[in-house]
Amino acid sequence: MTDLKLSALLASTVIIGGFLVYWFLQIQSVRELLALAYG
Amino acid sequence: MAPPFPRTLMVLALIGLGYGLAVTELYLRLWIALLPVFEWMETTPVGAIGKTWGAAFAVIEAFHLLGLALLGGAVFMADGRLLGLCFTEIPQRWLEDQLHRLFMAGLWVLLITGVFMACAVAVKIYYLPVYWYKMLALATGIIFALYIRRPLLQQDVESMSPWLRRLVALSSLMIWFTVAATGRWIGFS
Repeated sequence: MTDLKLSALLASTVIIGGFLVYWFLQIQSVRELLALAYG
Repeated sequence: MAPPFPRTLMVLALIGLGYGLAVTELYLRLWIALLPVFEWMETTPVGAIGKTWGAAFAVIEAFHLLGLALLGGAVFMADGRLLGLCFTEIPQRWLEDQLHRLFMAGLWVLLITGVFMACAVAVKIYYLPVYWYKMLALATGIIFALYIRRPLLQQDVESMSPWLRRLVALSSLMIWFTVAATGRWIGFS
């Protein structure tokens, strides 16, 4: 695999992983706030 | 002698830098050190205009949103083509070149108007975590788009693994979605 493809694979994996973790945590915190507010 | 995988090593170094900043909490020191810069931004003529003249801020914000639409449209079309969802009858390389121009125009509009808007509310955004997430996503998006995605797609795309193409398109969509969403979030904070 070339340098460019390897770097693309690495960066894409980190971006997708970061995206999933970030938005999961955001949705989770909204769910907790809603649970606090409305039970 | 250059290392055998300079681009990959650079990506690894950036990931390591980000991880190191987060783990050692050096980012907190950096954040504290940046406060005078944000306070100064509000005192500049640009900051004063944005803060005191609501119409100017609104007009600039409208251009900021137009820039976002331009960049978002270019990203959706280019990555949609890469995923094989649209414009499949148009040659990949030609479409990519045309859309890259739109992408760069949108990016410049976003950066110029974004600095103006940031100056107007600099101290407020300094204390907003979502602003820093947006900056992180924006920096990642720019580096990814110009340093990895663009050079990769200037090669022979058809000979590339379909999985790599999809991965690159998906990560591009995800990072620019995050930039747009966190950007709008700042407006509601």
